[in-house]
Amino acid sequence: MIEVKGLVKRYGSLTAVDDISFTVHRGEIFGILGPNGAGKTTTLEIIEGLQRPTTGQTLVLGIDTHRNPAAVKERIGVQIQASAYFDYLTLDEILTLFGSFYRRRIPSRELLKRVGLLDRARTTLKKLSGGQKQRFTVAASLLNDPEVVILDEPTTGLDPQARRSLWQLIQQIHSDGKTVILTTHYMEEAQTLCSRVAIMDMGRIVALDTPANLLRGLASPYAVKMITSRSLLSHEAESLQRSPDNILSFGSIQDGTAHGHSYQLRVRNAPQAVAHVLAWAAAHDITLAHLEVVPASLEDVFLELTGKELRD
Amino acid sequence: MLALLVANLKIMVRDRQALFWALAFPLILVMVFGVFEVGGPGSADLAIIDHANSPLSRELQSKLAEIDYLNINRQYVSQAEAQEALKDGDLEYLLVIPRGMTELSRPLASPNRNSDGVGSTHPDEPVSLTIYYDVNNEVGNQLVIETIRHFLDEENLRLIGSPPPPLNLVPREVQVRKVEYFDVLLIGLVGMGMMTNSIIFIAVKISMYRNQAILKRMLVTPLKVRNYFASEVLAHLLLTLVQTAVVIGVGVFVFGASIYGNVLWVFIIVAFANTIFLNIGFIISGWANSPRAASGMGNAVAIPMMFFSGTFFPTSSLPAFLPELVQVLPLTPMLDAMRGVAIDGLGLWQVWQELAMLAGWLVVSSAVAVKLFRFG
Repeated sequence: MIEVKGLVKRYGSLTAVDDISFTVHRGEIFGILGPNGAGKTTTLEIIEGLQRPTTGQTLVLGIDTHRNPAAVKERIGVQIQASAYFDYLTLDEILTLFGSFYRRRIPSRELLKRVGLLDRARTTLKKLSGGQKQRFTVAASLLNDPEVVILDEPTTGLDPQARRSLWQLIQQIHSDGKTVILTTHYMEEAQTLCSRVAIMDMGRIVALDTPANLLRGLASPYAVKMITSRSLLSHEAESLQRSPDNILSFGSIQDGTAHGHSYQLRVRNAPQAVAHVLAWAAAHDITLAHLEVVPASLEDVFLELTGKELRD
Repeated sequence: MLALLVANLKIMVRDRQALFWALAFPLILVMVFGVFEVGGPGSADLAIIDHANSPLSRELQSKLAEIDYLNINRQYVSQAEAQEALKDGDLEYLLVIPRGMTELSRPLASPNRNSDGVGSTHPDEPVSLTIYYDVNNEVGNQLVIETIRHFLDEENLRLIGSPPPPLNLVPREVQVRKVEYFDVLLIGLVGMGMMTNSIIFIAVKISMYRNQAILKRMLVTPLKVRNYFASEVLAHLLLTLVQTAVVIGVGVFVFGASIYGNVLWVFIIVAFANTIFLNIGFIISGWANSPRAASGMGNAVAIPMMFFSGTFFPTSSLPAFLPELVQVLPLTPMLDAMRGVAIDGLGLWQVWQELAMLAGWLVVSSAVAVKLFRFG
């Protein structure tokens, strides 16, 4: 559906996109994950025909975006990051206007119904909540019944509830048979929605696979989290780490909900690690207020691949 | 394309505040100038210190009161006080009538220019009236001094008892077409209002659309860029024509201005030139990084042009080489062409030089606008 070949985009001395290639298959939800400034939006804008690549090629439905932009634009639906619409038009009027730009179009009311905004058809965007606005912009990307839907950070800035409702909408679009490509810097979002994820950092793709495979590839697929009643002395902390094959890292973590001292260990083998921690606690007379094993997330994948934390 | 034009018009009409001010700005100026009747010869204050207070001196006073140009200022009772006011510029004229101007049997002297003293009361000497005035005010001085002199000459003739002189000039007023400053100004205000609105409106609007990524959102649809431009230009053109009609309407019907030529030509020139100013707005929007910057830059372009191109005063009154230089500004040929058809009653073909200049501007500004325009 979408082929990106050897894409490079330079702005003067800055290389925003540094030789990336990937293919998005029909019926996928393909995620591009990375921090701000990783080159996600630039990549999408080149695919959409908003920007020209320095070198490289993008094919959408077999059509070269930069040879025949009009044909590509006719068949894709795009949601632009933080794009507004006209303040003085109603939702219905905006959709009708944008629909008029396409040859094939879906009636605006049908779209509004699909995203649960039919009762707001005659209001302006200003009167919608953040979540409703995002649903509207997604609806606007479906106007021409596109085969490919491109969403740039569709849930950034939304509260968790609105985010979940938007996830449902995206899954619904996907089940209608559309190919979706989206960018996000939320790991949870990529994990929940995407069939495959490309992880981008500093203009490069550092990993590309299904979320499950990315996690499986981690050196430490689990984390052990514990809360102790008192802070650990340095020799206690050292003795805890005396299982080098299994325990890859150890450190205190900030946990707003815990009263006490929170620590996290990144481990290869969860049962062994738990046994080790329990024995260690008994030996040093440490009371464990809490102990849990959590599977690693894409956040950890990113941390392992780039050595950096992902931040909003 | 039509859908976009309709949407544009809806946005314009619904943005009540912006619409109101677009129309209000030139209208406020029309009202200001209409109410204050600028452009007449103005007025001047005359104080009269009448030492005689006789029927004759009162007759002179009433003659002077008939002059529209003069306000008789009765605030000053002493001559010293009035002379002080004259020096300070609070007063334009001071007439001192000596005590001797009563029932006379001897001829009166003409007023003594700038002489001081109250004039003689000696019955054998001629009685002299003194007028104090500012030498710089030539036109007004002529009017005032000649009025007084004429009055005194008539009195002198009457006193001598001679028959009327054999040679007489009989002034006959002929109704000529009297172009008032306000008529000329109104056309200037129409052009100026159109120019400021077009430049600033478009610059701010497009820059706002770019900041909010609305332009980008439209660019990812198959909408053709030239169709987008065309719809913006057409929508704005309609607004401009409405604005022009309102300003001319208020000027003519409320404040009594006159359009001597074909008003249709005025509208055609406005519509034609409007595209140039919209292009300038597009150019500014391509340059400015924020709507605020666009507004500032729009004002920086529009306001000097408003003064330099002869909205309020003729370009010939500009100093040094400026009168030639401002001919190349787009507002100058537009105002010249508009005044040509509106005031001098010319046909469009008679202002072809100005129109050719505007056509040149149209070509250049379109090219630059297309070149500089950015979507994101």
